[in-house]
Amino acid sequence: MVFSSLTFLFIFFPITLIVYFLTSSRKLRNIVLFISSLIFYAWGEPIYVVLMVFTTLNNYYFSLFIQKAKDNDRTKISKIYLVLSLIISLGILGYFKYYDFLIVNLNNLLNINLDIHNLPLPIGISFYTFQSISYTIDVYRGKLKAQNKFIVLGTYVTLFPQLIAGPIVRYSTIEEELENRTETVDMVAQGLRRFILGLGKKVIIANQMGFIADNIFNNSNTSAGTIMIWIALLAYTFQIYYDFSGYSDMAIGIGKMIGFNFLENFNYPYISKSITEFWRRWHISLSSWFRDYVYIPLGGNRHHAIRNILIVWLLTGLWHGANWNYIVWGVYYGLLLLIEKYILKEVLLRIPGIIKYLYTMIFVVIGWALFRIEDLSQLFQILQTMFVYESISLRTVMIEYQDIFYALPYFSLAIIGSTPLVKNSMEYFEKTKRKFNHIIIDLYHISILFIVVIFLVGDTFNPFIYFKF
Amino acid sequence: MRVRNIIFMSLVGIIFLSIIISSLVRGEKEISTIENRSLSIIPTFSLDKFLETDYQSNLEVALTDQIIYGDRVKLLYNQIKNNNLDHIVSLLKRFEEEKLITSSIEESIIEGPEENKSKIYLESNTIHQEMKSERDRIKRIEKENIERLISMGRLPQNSSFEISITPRGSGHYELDETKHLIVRKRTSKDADKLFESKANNYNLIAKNYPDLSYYCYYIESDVDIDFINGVIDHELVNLFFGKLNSSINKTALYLNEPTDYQNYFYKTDHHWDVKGQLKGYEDILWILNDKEFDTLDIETKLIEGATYNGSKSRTISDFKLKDDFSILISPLDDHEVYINGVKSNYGLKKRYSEGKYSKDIGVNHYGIANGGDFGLVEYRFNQPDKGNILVFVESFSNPVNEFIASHYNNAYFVDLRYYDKSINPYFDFGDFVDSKNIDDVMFMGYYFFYANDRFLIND
Repeated sequence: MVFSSLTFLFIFFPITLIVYFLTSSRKLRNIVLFISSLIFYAWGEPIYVVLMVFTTLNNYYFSLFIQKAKDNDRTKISKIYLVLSLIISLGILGYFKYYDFLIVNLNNLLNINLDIHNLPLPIGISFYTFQSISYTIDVYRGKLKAQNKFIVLGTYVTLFPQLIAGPIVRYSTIEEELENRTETVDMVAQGLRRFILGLGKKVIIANQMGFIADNIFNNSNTSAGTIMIWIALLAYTFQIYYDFSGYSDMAIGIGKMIGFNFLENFNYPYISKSITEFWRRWHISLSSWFRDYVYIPLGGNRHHAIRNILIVWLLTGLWHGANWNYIVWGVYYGLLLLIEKYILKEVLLRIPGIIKYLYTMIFVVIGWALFRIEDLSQLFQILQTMFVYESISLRTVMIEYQDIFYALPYFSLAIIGSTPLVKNSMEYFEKTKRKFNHIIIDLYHISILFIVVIFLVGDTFNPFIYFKF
Repeated sequence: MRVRNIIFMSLVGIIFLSIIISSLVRGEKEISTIENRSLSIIPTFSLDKFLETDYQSNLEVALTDQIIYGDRVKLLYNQIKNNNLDHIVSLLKRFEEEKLITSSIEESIIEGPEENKSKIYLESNTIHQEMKSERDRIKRIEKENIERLISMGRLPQNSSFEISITPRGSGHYELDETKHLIVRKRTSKDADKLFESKANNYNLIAKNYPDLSYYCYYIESDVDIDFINGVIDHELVNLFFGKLNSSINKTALYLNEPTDYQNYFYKTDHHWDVKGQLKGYEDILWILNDKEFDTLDIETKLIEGATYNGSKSRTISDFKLKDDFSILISPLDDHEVYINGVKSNYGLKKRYSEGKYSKDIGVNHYGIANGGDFGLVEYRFNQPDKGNILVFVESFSNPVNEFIASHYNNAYFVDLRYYDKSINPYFDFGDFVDSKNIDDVMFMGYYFFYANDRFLIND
């Protein structure tokens, strides 16, 4: 189930909230959350819900074993339990996500003919696997006490707001809230506003940007020309941001409504003035996960920093998808970050902000080209068209790409919304304490909700990009 | 702050509740006139369907369809989309026109005004004769014959033209002069495989049942004309006819110039207008010329006040685009009509003639007045001295079914999209022609009838 569906908005969400707030004890509320999260997941993956429960059970039991071994000072045993748990969790992820990719490449490399499975990728498997293993690793590291109540751990892993597209929430972030959270009217209202903003980002902007990008990329009638390729890539650049950050906003908003405070996942990445800054602002929960669970254990900055950075970015690429373009995308960012770290660091300090901004955005857009285009030959063709000017007549644009005109005006919203302008304005109005300003802000949110319903009913084009990860 | 938050949450809650409750109170809606389709209803839960995720997707579609004021919301949404499109297109067209004016001024200074470059090509013929005079005579006769057939639209004639069009979204364009909505031409690449399987299907039928007479009527439409590049080359009909055996007689509604399309087709619908329908009827009689049928006296009746928003205007959700609506009427001999085996009336031409029709926006007058699509429509004219015909059809035939049928004893119009859903047993060609004593078999439709495996005939 996706947040931007009528089923979620008009059936699942209201019923869940009503039942949740009708139950009085924390234990019962966690049970409500656990069951509703299973239903939420099973709505899209009725079979694979078993896989998610199995992954949760794996981490639940092995964490208890690890805790027990550690309590008895049996470090080696606890390490064995950790490795076993990781093998099972990552084995499931590897089997469902990477097996076919591996076999196809082995077949090509060794000229053999092993069968592939063609299994559909379980929704959100990368997210819940990373959450689960971070919990087990933290228990092994002694940062957490193993949770002996399965419902509590189950609620953490399956928690529907962040289950299928993040942010990747660490157990340590919400450990306290899982058993001792409070829900207040103010939190519910703030969460609701945040949820509506996220919904608006997804439905009003991301979908329109996706429509433009798909329309241009999928048109095989004619060569798109340099201008149209740039329009498509810019649209995709905004689509992926609004899609993903919108989802994170919705997750954070729903979380707040039920008493959880998830960490921010995006911080206006498209105002960054370096690639390093971009990755501090983009998908923060993933970057910090790799930093804490891969980069630092490998030695971080102290030992083999270059190797460590490349490994982390290779894995980041692979995490996003089992295809060579994701690997190329990951390594591309690894190399860019290395170049910034060791070569451009001083240069970037001296050059004007606008140049730094343009430099960052150009490389980010190229990055999204690598990310979007799975066929490597098509990718090279597009990269060439981006930089070797290829003209297209106005008439051809009108004939071949007329449908993008539906959505083109939303580019202005996308540009404005990618800066902190709206957020700062709203914060300013909030601070003024004037009732009129507050009414305007609330009407703004309600208007967004109305527009979202109009768009959802009027249009059925509504896929979430980040589902495939 | 607390009061403000309570008011905000209450407002959002009231909005959601009012949408849910008013949708429930109104009850399930079955039809959308504006979209001209049945609406999805809330599905009944079953575990099997849930596990296959059919239940989930059906529920989402049903909610979209059943939400209160869903039609209006969809119209509003499409209006927003169309406004965006119209503004940008007019901006770009103005920019393009200014560019053209500038460049033509520059060119006229250098070269003088450019002449109209439209050309017409006649297909060539080769005739082998020994005697020059005889050859000339035959050539002259043949030329006259070809010209006569071309003028009647019974032979293809290639042409190139220039026409001004405006994008209207969802793959539609508008011819600026006449406001006809058109879609893009299909290519032979799109059609080749589908044509191949259809032609093989017909050829096999014709081979297996050689005693019957076979006729194929291809209705060219906007998908056969390259309006964008200004080319008419009859590529698709030629491709299809080239795959049919010679035992099948064939002709087409040849659109030799853009004006043919504009004359024969609605502005807002993919079907043919009354002029096209009449031409189709005449073409069909012409292809059946060995039967020496007398042409019916058919009158065109304009339905006063009826405005028609066809499928194309519905697709782009522009209900300001309208056609006048007319029907063809002829005093036919007494006959009976059976729809899917049940005695019935086909179409509401009589009611339309009396001015009794719905005035609602988006009503599908073509389907209602001329008759809808059914698996089997059977006409019994009780003329035992005449033969029986089986016609494989889609909706293009609806307005002329009765006219074709009037030349036969019994006429059977089979729409294979619906036959197997409504008639038991499934359609079997051999059984059908044997049981109904069929003499003539006709295939009749436009591009999508032939380039579509749903219309394959089982035998």
